[in-house]
Amino acid sequence: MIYCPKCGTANRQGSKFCNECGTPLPATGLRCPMCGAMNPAGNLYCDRCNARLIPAEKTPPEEEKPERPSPPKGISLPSVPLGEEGWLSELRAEAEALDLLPEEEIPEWLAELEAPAAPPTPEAQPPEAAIPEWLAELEETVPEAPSPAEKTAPPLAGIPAPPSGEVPEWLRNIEFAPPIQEEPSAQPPPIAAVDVHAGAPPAVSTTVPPILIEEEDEGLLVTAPGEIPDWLKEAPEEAPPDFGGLVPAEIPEWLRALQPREEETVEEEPVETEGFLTGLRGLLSIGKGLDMPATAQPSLPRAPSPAAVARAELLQGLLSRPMITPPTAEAREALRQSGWIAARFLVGIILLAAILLPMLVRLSLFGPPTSTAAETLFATVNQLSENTPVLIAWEYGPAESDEMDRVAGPLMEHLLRQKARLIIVSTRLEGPAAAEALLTSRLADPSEWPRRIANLGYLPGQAAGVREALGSLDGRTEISTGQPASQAEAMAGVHSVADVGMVVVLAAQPDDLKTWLEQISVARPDVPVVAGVSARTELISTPYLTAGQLKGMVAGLTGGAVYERQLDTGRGREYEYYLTSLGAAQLAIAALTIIGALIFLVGGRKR
Amino acid sequence: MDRLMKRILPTSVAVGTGLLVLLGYLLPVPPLPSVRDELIRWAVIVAAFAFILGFFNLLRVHSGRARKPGGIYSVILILTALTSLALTLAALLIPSLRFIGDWWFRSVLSPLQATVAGLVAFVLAVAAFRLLRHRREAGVLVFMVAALIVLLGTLPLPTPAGNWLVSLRTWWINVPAMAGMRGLLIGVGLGALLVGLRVLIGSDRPYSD
Repeated sequence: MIYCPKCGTANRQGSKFCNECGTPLPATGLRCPMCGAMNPAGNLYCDRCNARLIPAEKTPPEEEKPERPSPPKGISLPSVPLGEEGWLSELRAEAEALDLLPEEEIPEWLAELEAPAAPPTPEAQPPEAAIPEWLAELEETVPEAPSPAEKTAPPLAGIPAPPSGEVPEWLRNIEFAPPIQEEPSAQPPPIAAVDVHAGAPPAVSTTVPPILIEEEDEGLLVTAPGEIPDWLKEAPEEAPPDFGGLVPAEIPEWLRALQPREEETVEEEPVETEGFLTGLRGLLSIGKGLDMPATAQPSLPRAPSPAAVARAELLQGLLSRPMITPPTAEAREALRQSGWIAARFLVGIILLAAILLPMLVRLSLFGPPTSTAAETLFATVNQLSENTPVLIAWEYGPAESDEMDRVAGPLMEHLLRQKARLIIVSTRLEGPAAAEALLTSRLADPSEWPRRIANLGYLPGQAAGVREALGSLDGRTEISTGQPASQAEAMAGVHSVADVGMVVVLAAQPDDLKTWLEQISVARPDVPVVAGVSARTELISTPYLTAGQLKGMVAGLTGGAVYERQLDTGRGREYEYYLTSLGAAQLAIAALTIIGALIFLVGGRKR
Repeated sequence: MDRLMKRILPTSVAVGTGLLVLLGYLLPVPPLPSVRDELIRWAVIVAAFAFILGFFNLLRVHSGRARKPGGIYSVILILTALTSLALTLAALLIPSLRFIGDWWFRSVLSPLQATVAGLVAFVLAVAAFRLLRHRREAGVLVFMVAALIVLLGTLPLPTPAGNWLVSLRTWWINVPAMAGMRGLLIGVGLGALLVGLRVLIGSDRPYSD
């Protein structure tokens, strides 16, 4: 409750104005310096944030010592010495308060207590009547020459003085002894007890008359009054210093060490100037260390080491170089493509050199070629009689004529030498023209063309056309003269494949050879079939040759050279050049294959 | 009606024609051989007509491409095809103009086709060089070894090693290569037989969509 200072009305706690007269009421609570919350006056810590409300100080509250305000030292710093009990602090504060009281306010009992502190004059002795009876009786039992300390020994504080007649027997035997200087490390001395129930103001007394205690092996032995121990008798009889009734040695060192030191100068710490902490000090004491200016770093040595100079020069050299940007994916791809273009160009150069060089310098690198199949074919053609009609399937065009002309040329010339009649058909559009071009060069006397050669031209329909031509050669046109095939001189007596003495298949492609062999074996299996094929078709024609479907074969430039040598047309030198160029090209390709294999085996495959 | 024209009728004609030709070979009794030969002759005529259709289709396709970027090659193709057709027809109609056709063949077509064919050697050489660039499997290595044997064995090298290579090449062609080729031919023959049977029973209809 808050009582109005004007009308005395009791107001509710926390009220700001009086309910009766409206007078502003004083604030009775404590405002937390941290959170600003109001707390009851008796709080030591804030109910809201647990911050300390009353600064720890050794001085009494402000209203008691206004001349020594103590600024708050920080909210959360411990203010009570460790180990000091609360009651001890209160006790000390009260003792100091008593010291500061004006002399006229010193209670009577305290004045009596302080009286012995004055020089021991007879005037200062308390009146006789002031001594309680029980004490007076007690004094009567004291020996006649008591020590000064014994005379000033007050009664045991806090203990009601019993009447003299009620002094127990054990108390009478107690002899008051002078105070004994004890070591600080010894057991704490007895402290005057405060009888809070006696109604008397609490008195601080450290002059409790000690009881002589002798320590023996059996335990504690209380010495009876009048029985002064030997060690006490030997002690010099000096008057103890007068401390005004207080013995300084009675405050032990450990307790004295806990007392706040007034001599310490409190360093003024910065005051918060803004925010809700305005006016508080020492809130950021750690900032003092942080705000310290940085110490100057030791300077580098003036003379750098040679190694440092070398590193600096290396770094400078690296920095002075032009920047090298890593190639992009497109650049790497372009580089790879350019590399492959260069590789292809190199391969082409090598291949071209291998082909042209032997022809230009007339090299003869290889021996004479051999071909058993060509020799067999030569023998077969030799057995043809004059005017034997021979059906020739001309299955190659200008693309293959460079090779196939060297295969078909000696064979056609041999047939013409044998005076055979050549009936030419083809399932390829260019076949009849290629046949005419070759036969024109091989035919010694062009005037013999009509009698020796009948070019029946193109056979549409692939296998059906072959089957149809094998079944009937009539109804066609000889394209050289434009007259019907039945009227051609070379076609005399020839109407189908059954009327021919031999079938020659000049095939550059394997499929053409297969088509002709399949159709002939069905239409007229008894007609001998021979073939002049390219080197590419040689492999697939070999099984037919081995099986007997082919009576002879000229394969590739090698077979043509063999046949040319057998026929002895005078073109052997030409074949030799071709064979040398072909062999050099094959060697170059074999070398490139091995080199490429080594490169990619060692260098790794494409990623 | 649509199903009849697009599926039933073409299938019936194909199966019937095939069976007649097959019977003409299997049972050579009149009139089956004559019917067989006549049907084959029809096939040749149809093939020739298809060839003419193909020629005009080629002109039509490249006429469309000639208007697009890079159409210069289509223009050249059209001009070349028309020139060849005109020269051939002229040689048939006027025999004295035949030398122009011969010149066209010997001086234009033959060199061009021979040049294109000659590039095969260069392509094969580059392919041989980078044979192991992409794959290093056992099959590739066997192929490379076989190619080297055939290449070097074909050459009449006047050395004992050359004779040994020729013998090795001959053995290679006559034994392993021929075994593989025979197996290939047998497989092709069986495949052709199977395709023929499928066409005859109407399972495959390459003549209809």
